[in-house]
Amino acid sequence: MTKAKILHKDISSGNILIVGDAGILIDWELCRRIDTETARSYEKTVSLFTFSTIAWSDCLVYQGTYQFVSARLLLNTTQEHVHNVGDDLESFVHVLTWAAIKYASNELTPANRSHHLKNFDSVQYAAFSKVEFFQRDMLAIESIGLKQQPLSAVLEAIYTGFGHRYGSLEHKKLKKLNQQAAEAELEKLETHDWLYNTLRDALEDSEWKAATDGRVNQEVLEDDKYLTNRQKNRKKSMIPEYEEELNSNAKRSRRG
Amino acid sequence: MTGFGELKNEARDEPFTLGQPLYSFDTEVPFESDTMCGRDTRGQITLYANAIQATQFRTHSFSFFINRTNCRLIHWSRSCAIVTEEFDYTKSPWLAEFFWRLSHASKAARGFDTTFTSTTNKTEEKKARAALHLKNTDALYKVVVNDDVTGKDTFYIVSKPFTNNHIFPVGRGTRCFKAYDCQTRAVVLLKDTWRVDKYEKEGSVYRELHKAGVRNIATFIAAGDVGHVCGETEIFSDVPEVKRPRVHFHYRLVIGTIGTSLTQFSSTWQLVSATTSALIGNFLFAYP
Repeated sequence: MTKAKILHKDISSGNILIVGDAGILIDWELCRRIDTETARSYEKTVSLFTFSTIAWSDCLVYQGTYQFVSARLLLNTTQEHVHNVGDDLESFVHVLTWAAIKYASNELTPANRSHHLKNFDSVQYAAFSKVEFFQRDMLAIESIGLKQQPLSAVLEAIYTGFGHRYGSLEHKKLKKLNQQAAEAELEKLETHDWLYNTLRDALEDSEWKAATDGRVNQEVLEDDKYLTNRQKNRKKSMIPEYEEELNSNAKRSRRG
Repeated sequence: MTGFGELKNEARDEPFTLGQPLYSFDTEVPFESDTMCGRDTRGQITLYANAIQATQFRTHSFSFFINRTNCRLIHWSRSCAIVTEEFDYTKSPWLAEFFWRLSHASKAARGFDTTFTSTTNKTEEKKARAALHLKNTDALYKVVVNDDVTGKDTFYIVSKPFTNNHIFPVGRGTRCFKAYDCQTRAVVLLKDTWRVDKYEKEGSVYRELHKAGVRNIATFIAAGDVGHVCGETEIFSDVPEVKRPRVHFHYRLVIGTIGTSLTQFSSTWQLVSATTSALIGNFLFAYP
């Protein structure tokens, strides 16, 4: 097996394009060579500059699109963990989950759906909610209630796998029984083989392939819950004419 | 519009501190004043500067800020805003000299990106409009891309970008266009961006990935620097490296594949299938 020594580092829903039935990965601007062992010094400063206004965190050392960055990178404020293949792989998983919650037909109520999507966006809670989601492994996916059974099944399998990385119940049990097997579970998450094979096997389902369950525009609650009072006041007072215009446009498009 | 000026008449609206510590125990004073009014003023002028670079093809822009008799000149770029020291414009000639220099400067020196030119060839224009499905009233620009490996110039015709990442004041400011390739007459994707210094050029990454035979990545056409740079001045030479603003190079990349967004999937199978093939593209594995 030959490997290209380049890591993408910004896997996101916006950087995967559909071409026919296949997908291509674009935007290789942030990529890094795998053989560079340590994080480059200027990358650390990059993240410091971009997010210097976030007071609760000493230093954020991740790059990429926030919603899809791996939980362990989000939690990693000590700069010990360097973005590697395993983080890129986890980003692919977040892309699938995010798309499944937002656009695939599922049983979430609008309030729950908004809650899940906000957790992806929230600088404060994203890391913890991602960890929690993985720890609940397949039950987390079950709770979304995806209508397409094979999609739900493959995500459940993936979450059971990644649950090991964040210490799911299954991982704890396995560790007690067989330390080596538990470590093997962790290792398989660091290379492409396991995730690729899981996805490829699931895609062989011809009934699923024939289904036409395209993107659904599902209801999401819009609220200002995450704005501070000052931000809310500003939003109101700054440009009232513009607000009116926006509201009337929204009404018009809803009617149309 | 070339630039703008903002006038205030209240000391409390001052967006920048004078470098004087407020309390005796303060050792370091942040240049940006932290009062509410000061922040509002900073937001206001940043909004104006941003409106210019979001709606025009600019490399940089200039503005002046006057509070009572105190004046500062500001240079805005993709890296940062550079602000001069305060001077009394009623006593010193600098503001007048600034206007004189600005009005005598070339278009490029005033910060207009002159590499976006208007199209001259009528038949080519017609073909481009047909290929890009444009109305007769849509603006057209001709862009040149100088490939940094082959050294060859290639020309493209574009209209409005279909992305909106360039509307933010600093950063890469990427604009992606559906472009008409004047050489092959095909529709391609042109990415106009300000790449960050020290990162590998995206074009060389594409070249390497193709050479390694990686599947599921876009076909590569051309890429190269435009010749504009920002954030690289000697005024930062005595600033520690971690505190310096990022250096950006204006860069263009042309790829041959235009896909649809992953969120527009026509079936959940397609969603997973596209993600899976992108996964292969992410990291080359010689799968059987």
